[in-house]
Amino acid sequence: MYGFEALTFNIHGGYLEAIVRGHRSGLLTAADYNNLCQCETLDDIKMHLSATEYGPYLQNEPSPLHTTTIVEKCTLKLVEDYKHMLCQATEPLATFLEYITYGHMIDNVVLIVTGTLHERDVQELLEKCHPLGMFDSIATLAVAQNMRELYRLVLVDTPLAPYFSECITSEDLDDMNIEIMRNTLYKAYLEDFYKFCQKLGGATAEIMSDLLSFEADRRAVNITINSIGTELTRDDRKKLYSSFGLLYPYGHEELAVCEDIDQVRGVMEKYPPYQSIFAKLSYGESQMLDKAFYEEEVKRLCLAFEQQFHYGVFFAYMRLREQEIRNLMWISECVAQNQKSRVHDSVVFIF
Amino acid sequence: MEYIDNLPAMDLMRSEKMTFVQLIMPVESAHRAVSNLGELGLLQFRDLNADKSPFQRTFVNQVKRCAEMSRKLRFFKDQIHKAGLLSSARPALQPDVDLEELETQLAEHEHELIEMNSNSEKLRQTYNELLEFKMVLQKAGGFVVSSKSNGVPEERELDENVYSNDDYADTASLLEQDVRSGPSNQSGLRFISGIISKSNALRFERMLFRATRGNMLFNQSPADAPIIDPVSTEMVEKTIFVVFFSGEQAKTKILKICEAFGASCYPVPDDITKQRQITREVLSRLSELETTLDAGLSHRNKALTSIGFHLTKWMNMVSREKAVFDTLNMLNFDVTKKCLVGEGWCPIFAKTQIQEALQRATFDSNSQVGIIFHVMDAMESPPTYFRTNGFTNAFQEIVDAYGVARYQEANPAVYTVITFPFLFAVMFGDWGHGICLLLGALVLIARERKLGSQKLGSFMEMLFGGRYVLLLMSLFSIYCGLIYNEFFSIPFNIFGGSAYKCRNDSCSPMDAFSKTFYSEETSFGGRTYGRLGNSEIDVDAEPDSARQHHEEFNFSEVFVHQMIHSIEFVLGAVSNTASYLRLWALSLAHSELSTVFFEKVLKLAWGYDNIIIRLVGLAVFAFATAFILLMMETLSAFLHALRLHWVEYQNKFYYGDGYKFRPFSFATLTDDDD
Repeated sequence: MYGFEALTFNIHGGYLEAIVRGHRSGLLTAADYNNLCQCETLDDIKMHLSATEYGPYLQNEPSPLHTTTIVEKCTLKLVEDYKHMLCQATEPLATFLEYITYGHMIDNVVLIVTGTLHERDVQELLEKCHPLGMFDSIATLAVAQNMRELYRLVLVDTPLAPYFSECITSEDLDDMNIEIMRNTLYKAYLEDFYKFCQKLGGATAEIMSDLLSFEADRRAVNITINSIGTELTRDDRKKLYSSFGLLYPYGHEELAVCEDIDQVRGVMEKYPPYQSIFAKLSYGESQMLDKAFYEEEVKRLCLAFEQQFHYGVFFAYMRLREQEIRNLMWISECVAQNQKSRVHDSVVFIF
Repeated sequence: MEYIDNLPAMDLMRSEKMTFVQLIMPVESAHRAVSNLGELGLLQFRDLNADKSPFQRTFVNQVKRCAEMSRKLRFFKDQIHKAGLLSSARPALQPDVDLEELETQLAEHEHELIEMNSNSEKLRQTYNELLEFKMVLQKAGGFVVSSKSNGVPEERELDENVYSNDDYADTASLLEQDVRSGPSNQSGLRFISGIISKSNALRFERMLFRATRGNMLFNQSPADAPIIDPVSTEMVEKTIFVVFFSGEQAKTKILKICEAFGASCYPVPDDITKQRQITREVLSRLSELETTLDAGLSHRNKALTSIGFHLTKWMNMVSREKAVFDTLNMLNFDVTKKCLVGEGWCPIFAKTQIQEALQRATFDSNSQVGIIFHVMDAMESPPTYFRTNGFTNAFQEIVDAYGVARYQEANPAVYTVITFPFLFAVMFGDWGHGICLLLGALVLIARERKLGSQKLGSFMEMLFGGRYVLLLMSLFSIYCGLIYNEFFSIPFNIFGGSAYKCRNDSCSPMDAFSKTFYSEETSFGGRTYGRLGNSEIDVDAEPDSARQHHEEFNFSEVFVHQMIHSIEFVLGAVSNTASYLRLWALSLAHSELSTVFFEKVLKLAWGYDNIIIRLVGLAVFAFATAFILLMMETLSAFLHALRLHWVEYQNKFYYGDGYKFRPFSFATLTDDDD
C-alpha cells in the first residue's frame, strides 16, 4: 500500500500523530540549551525548565534540588506521554509502541542481574531502572542463579522470552556472559523490530529501516570497540552483530577481525554515511565517538518528522526525548559539580 | 450641533485612545509603585529585557523565593485537602504581614508539618506492621493449626494433584509426616507466613511455584479489612499467605521472592498457646499505638486548620508579590542613577489615576525623589482597549474571537449587539421556543451574583458568559416568532398577514436577498465605512492603493492587484449574498422540524383516547423540543449567525489585526490561579 497511507492512515493513527507532533514541538530548542548552559545552580535550571513542558513536573520539588530529581521528573514526563499514547493506540501502532520499550527492558534485566551479582540491594537497583522498561516481577530477577533459571522464572512471562532462545545455558552468571546476553538479546530484539516494521510496510518500513539500521550499525561498532582485547573470539563477536543494516554482511566480516580502533575506522570509512562521523575524530580516539553517533542519530530522527503518515515519528519522538533527558542530566551534573567548561562536551542540540 | 455633542460618547465604537509612557522610579519606591499600578490595572508594561533569560534578570532571587513560597502553600493546600479539612477563609484575624515574615512563617509551618508527617508515618508504619502481624496471626495461625489437626486429607489431595511425579513422592510424604509431627523446623519442613497485596498474590504464587519447582504448598486467605499504605495513603486490599516448603535453599529463594514482591513476612509460632500469647501482646500494643496516632492526628489537624484560615490570603499575597517582581524584571535597571526605567501603554483617561497611584507610592515609601511619569512617542501601534461591561462583554468576545480590532478601528461589536440576536432570531423564529430560551436566560441573569462568584463547568461557564446574548436572542426570537405566527409550530394569527411570508415554500430566494441586503445596509449606516458600497469606485478608493503612490509606483503590479481585488469583490458580493440564504434555509428547517414533532408526535398521540399513550407522546414531544429544537437548533442557528458576522459581515470592512491591551493587574491574576 505504499503511497496510499494518506487515504487511511488518519482513521486510526491521525490523532496520535497529531499528539506526537505536538509533543515534538515541546522539545527544548538550541536557545533553551544556551540558556540552560548559562545556569549557575540547579535552581536556575529548574526555573528555566518551569517555562517548558517540564514545568508541572518540577514545580512541587523543594529546593535544594538534586540532579537525580531533575532527571527522574523529566523521565516521568516522557513516561506519561508514552502511556497516554499507548492508551489511545490501536493495533498495530500499540505493538509498535511496545517494541520501543523492549530495549529498556533488556537494559533493566541486565542492570538487575549484574547488580545482584555484585550483591546490591534490590530496591536500590529497582530505583535505577528505566521506568519504560519495567515489567511485573522484575524484582524476582534477583532470585535467578543462571540463564536457564532467569528464563524459566521470570523472562518467560515477558515479551523478551522469544529473544532468549540463544542465551539459554546453565552457566553461572558472570559479568562477561551477562554482557554477551545483553548483546544477544539486543540483536534478537532489533532483528524482530526490523522484521515487524518491514511487515507494516509503506513509509513506516522505509523510515524505520533507516533508523534501525543505523542503530544496528552503531551497536556493531560499539561491540567491536568494546570487545577489542577481551577473550571474545572473532566468531562470537560476529554472532552479536544484527543481520541487517548498512554494514551487513561484508562490513561485519571486516569488523569481526578488527584489532584496534584505527582498523574499525578503516572499515567504517568505506561507508559514505559513516565517513563524516569518523572524519570528526582524530586517529586513535574513541571518546568522542558516542557524541558523534548521537549527533548523527538526532539528525536522522529529526528527518523522520519530515514525512507524514508513518509510525517512525513515535520512535523518533521517544528517542529525541531520551536524548534531551541525557542532555539535561549532563548539564545538571556539570552545573552541580562546577564543571561548566565541560557542558558542551556531551550535549547534543536537537533543533 | 449641540444635540450631537450632548449625545453620550460611543465608547465602544472606537477603542480607547492610548499613549506610550515612560516611568522613572527610584529603587526605594519602585516596588510599591508597581503594586499600586497592579491594584489599578491600567498600565501595560513592555518587556525591556526580552533578550535576557529569566535568571539573568534583576529580581530573579525574589521571584525564586516567591515560587518557593507558593510551592510551600501548594503543599499545605494538598495536605489540608488530604486530611479532608476545608480551608475556610476566616476574616483576616492577623494584620498584614510582610513578605519576609511570611517566608519565615511558612518555613516554620512546613518544617513542623513535615516533622509531624514523618513522625506519624513512622508510627503508621509500625501500626501497619502490627496490624498485619495480627491478621497473619489470626489467619495463618489458623492454617498452621488446621494443617496440624486435619493435615491428612489436605495433604492427600496435594499428593495426588501436584506431586504425582515419582521424584517428589518422597518429599510429599515427608511433608505429610512433618506436618503431623508437630515442631517442624527440626525435620526439614518449614513455613513462611506473611502478607501481600491482593493484586500481586497470583503472580507471587506462580513465581513461588516456579522457583521451587512446585515443591511447596501455598495457602492464602483474604485479609478482613484493607490496610492504608503509608506512602501513598491509599487503602490496599491484602492477602495473607502461608508457604510450606522444605530445604534451606528453597528458603532463601522464597525470602528473596517475598522481598521482590514487597511481601512482608511475619513469624507465626505453631504452638497455639504461644500464638495466643503473642496475639495478646500485639493487640495491646496496637491499642496503645492507636491512641498515640489519634493524638498525633488531632494535633496535625489543628495545625492544618490554623494554616487553612490564612491559606487563601497568603496565596493571594504570594501570587501578587510574584507578579510584582515579574513586572519589575521587565524594567531597565539603571545602576548609576539607582532607578528603574519602565515603558508601557496606558489609556489617556487613566493618566491622572496612574499619577495619583505613583504619588501615593512615593509618599508611602518616604522617598525623597518623586516618580517621573511622562508621555513618549512610540514606533509600534498601540494596543486596542475597549471598556466593556457585563452586557457588551460577550459581544466583544464574539468579535475578538475573529480578530482584535486595529487601534481605533470601528468596532463591529457595536452593531453585533443587535444584528447578532436578530440574525439568530430570523433562523429561530418561534415565540414558544423563544419564551423557553428567555426563561433560561432570565434564570442565569437572576442568579448572576451567585453564579459569578463560583466556579462553573466549561459548558455552564460558556452559557453564563453569554447570558445577555442569550437574553437578546430569546427576545428577538419571540419578536420574529410573533411575526412568523409560530408558537411551537402552531400558527397564532395575531397580526394578520405576515411580513416575513418568504418562509413559505413558495417564496423565492430573492426576497431573502433583498431583505438581508436591506438589513445589512441599515446596520452599517454607511457612516464610516467608505469601502462598503457595491460599486467598483469604492475599490479604487481603497486607502491601501492610495498609499502605494507614495512608494515606488509600478503600474502593472497595481493593475494586477486592483484586478484581483475587483474580481474578489464581485465574487464576494455574489457569494456572500447567497450565503445569507442560510437565514431562509435554517428558519424553514426549524419550523418544519417543529411541525413534524408537533404533528407526528403530539397530535398523533392525542388522537388516541388513552392516557398512557398521550403521556408518552407528551414526554417524547417535550424531550424533542428541549434537546433537538432548543439545544441543537439554538446551537446551529448560533453558529450560522456567527459565520454570517465573521465571514459575510466583518470581511467587508474589518481589519482585525490589532492586539489586545493587557494591563498589569492583580484582578486578572487571581482568575488564573483558580
